Amino acid sequence: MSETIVSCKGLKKYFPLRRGFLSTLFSRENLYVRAVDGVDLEVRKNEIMGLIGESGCGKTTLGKTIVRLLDPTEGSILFKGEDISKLPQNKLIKYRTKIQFIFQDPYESVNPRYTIFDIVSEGLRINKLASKEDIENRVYTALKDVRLEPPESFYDLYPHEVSGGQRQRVAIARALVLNPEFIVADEPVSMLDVSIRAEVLNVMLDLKDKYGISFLFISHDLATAKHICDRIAVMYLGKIVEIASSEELVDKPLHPYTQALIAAIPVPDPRAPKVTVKAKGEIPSAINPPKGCRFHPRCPFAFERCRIEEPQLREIEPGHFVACHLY
Amino acid sequence: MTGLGIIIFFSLLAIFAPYITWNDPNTTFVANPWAVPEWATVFPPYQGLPPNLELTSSNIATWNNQIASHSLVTTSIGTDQIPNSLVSISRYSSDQVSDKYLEINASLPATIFPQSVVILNSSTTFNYNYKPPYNFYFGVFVFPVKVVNVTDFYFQFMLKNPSGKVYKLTNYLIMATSPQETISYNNGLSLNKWDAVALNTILPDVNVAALGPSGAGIPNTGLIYLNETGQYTFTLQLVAVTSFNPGFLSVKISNPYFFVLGRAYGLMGTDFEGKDLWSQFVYGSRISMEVGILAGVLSVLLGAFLGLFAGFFEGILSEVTMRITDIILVIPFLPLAIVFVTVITQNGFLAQSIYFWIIILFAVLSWPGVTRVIRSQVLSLKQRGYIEAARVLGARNMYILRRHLLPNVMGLVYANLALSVPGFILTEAALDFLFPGVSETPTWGRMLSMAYEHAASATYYGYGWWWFIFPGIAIVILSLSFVMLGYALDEIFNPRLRGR
Amino acid sequence: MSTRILDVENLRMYYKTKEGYVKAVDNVSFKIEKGDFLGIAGESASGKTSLAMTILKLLPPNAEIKSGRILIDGIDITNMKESELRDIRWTKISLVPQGSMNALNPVFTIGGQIVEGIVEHKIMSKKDAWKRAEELLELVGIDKARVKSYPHELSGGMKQRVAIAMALSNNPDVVLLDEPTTALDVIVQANIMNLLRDLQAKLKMTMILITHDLSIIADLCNKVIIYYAGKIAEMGDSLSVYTKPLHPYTQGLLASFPNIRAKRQKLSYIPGTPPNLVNPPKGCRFHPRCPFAFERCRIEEPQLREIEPGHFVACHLY
Repeated sequence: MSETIVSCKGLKKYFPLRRGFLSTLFSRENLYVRAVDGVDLEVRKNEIMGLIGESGCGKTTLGKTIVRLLDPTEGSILFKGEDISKLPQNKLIKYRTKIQFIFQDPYESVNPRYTIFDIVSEGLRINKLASKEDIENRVYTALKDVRLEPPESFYDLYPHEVSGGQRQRVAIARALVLNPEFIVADEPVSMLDVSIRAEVLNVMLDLKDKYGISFLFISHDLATAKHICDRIAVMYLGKIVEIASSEELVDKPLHPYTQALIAAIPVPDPRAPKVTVKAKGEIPSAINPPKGCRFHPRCPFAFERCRIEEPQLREIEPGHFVACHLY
Repeated sequence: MTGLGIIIFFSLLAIFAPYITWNDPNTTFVANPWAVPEWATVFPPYQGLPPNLELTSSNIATWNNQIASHSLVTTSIGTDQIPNSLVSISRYSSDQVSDKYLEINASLPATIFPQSVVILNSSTTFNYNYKPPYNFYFGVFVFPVKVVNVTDFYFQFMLKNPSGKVYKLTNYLIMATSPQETISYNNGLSLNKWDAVALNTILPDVNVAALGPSGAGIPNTGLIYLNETGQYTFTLQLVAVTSFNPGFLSVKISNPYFFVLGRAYGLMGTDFEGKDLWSQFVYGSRISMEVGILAGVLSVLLGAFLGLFAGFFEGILSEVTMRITDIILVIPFLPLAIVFVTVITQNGFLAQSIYFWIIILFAVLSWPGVTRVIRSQVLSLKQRGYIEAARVLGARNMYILRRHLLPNVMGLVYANLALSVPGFILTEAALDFLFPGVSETPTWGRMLSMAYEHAASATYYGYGWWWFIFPGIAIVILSLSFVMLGYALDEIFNPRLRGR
Repeated sequence: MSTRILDVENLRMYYKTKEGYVKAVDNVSFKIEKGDFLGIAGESASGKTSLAMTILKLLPPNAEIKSGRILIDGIDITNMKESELRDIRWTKISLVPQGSMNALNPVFTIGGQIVEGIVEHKIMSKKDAWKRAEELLELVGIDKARVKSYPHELSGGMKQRVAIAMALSNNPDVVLLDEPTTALDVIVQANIMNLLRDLQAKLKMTMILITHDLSIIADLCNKVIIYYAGKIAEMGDSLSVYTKPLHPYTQGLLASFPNIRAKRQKLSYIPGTPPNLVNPPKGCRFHPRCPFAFERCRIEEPQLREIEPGHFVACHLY
């Protein structure tokens, strides 16, 4: 097994709920949105780890907490064995270049007033990492690596002058220019048209092969994740419910939630079996998650124990972890 | 871009005010009260109204100087400069002043009773082709060199109209005015010094409204003396009064003048005291621009600064700032401003810098609006991906504020600035309207206020439209142009409104 | 034939903008029969929503219908007055607009909102309308007791069901659904898809589904139109289009679509970006991105032709 680059243990991120003045006065209890509620996750060197879940399950919060865009409530984040979860922002600077983040919306994540050269070189300038000449070389290489060619023809363009797919690759180049070892990509293609998604995804695969960069690929789209991720973790209401290699997870899902997800995904083939619904209702609020297994109110197989005891993530088969009382 | 053009026009007016006006805005009687703008004389009701007219030559050598009857008189022409301080009394512009003088040396016989002897008759003719004026000035400069055994000497002025009728101007005026109004030696002309013998038909302590055509009591001399067109003869006489002993009188006289106070004047006419409205207008633009722009800059800078920080750092301080904005926003602006100005004007010391205090008041009452706008913009910008992206790249707060937030709110700041200025201009005008005469400085608001106050007498003069129309329109246009500039800036800096 | 429900002929609809005409619908012809479930697939900004809005004549003021005819159940609505159209839109064809689940008014109950629509057309009393609202909710799988619920008390999937129920209030012949599942999670999406399938079977309704997601169309529809840059690229029975895609665009789109049941593979993509509809490329609009483009594609615009029975394609390769 290859070495771990990032791991988190018992990671929690709660958002306090803002309430009216009177209710604060009369009730001691604080309400929290438990967006991430005790997550153990490991990303290995040179792998693309998928993090799959429905909207509101806390996957983006988890991603942002790992890169310390958000401060964790509890738990640890180890980057190459070093705990960065409690480092103050000024000590964090030296990890900033190593851990990068790619945002979902390429239309929002780049400043519309900056040229592409300025956008890509921003990290180098902020951290004073390179001389003027060096900056240009590194921007050139980064743009080439994300297949924006010829790179110099993009230098003076503004974001609105390039397409969405190119813009997302500019955002990748901005992260890449700092020579990161780990990148969290938050739904990097969900805003793009299907016909050009693969162009961006393939860039990620290239970077993994060429520089050995590890990725945490956050997505709601299990079908895409299957094709580009090495391993996939499925998240439900702030918790990881299943982790396995991508093929095994899709072909032999163990957790009823994973099974429901897969059954609900349509296939671009009219001959294939129709979608089926194997879970009742919709994802509940993260303010008051269900007791016991969080999936039990929707689970077709739920029994007494599920309502009382919270299942732990256990290795059922080699490399296949699941948090379910059925196994 | 018309807006910008108008603003630039008014800025230039304000900056170059001293160079484009011919009068101090507070000088009275630069022309007749209620003079219409000169260009208005092309319209029938105002056709033929006289402008300010210098009807006679200031060079006495060109006058017809006759020694009257006495054989012991000699005259000679010399040159000397009349002091500027005196010149201003006679409404000369200094370049029209002639340095020629006429020196008269007269021996006077001894008489048992004092006897008036005319020594000099100096006359000139002029053509007058306008409607009669209401008022005119006339006079001469005099330098008594030597006065020995002369009881008194004085000047007497006469006007012969085209029909041949002769008016003694001095006599009438001396009768009409208070006793101090004199031209005689005994009443203050001092030896060896140039002095002005200045007379006019505008009488001290007279109700100026009475100077109108149907004013009570005092007839308008101009209407009587200059009511014909054609050739007039203006004569000044030097008269000496003899004593027991043979006397001797040596006097230099220079720059006699006869000056009609125009009923049409300048670009914008005059007000009820004959003050130049154009220069009031121009100097008024200074106050309007100054108050508008300074209050705008101050409130927007303060507001933007607080908005930026209150939006970026959410915490107790930001919360406190926002609550303060709430409090200030519910204060009724105009009533408070009225109370404030009342208080200030009661204090002589503070009242001197009334506009400074008005600017401060405007700024203090207006920043919260800007703060709210900027803060909400910052709150929304903060959620933009690229702010978070900069954080991932290792950017610190100040970097993000400077490089990402500031450039993005600048457009809003400029637009807010441009949009807040007209409000201040209008409010300042309103305050000046409500508190005229707070300071000596003319403002548009004060012009309107004065025009309003004298609206009753204005009825004789076409309601004095030239008094209120120009400042009124200027306030509207300048405010509007700032608003237009604001929208233009908004469009330039707001990517959503920018043409795609 | 009497079963023809919608007939669109040579339809052209352009938007007038500062830059010029946006050719969102450019010479589009298709027909559907009663009981068909048609999917219209296209990328963002391809003009697929404009096509739907043109069929309903729900157009903004800058839209101009340049040519063509729209026949609904044999009635030509192309030049119809707005007052008549309102009835057509109610009884013949109705729309579930994009994002309609978020367009519910938060201060009225869902029942009230359904009733309001029914009462406005004065076909039944208010009391009957409430009964009808309950019926409709049951029809879309919501407990009729929830008729007095407010939108915020419902989940996203339920709100989408309410939006569908509103479109069904007067049993229209055709229901147009614009991206009905886009903002929903997959499990909820599957729920809605099953609801649509059931409704269509139960009510013998004609449905038109507009989406960017080819897999939803494959799952639900018997006919499909592949829409590219304001034109129909390919059209036919789903089975035939998906198993034997003829147009290179359809081929590329299908290849770039991740299939969860397929083996792990590197995904492919179509190079380039969709064209600007103000100045679309000359000739075939897909030619700058097409791997098979040749001289003729650059010059001549291909016409939609029937290559196999019921399978139309606009491509010079055939």
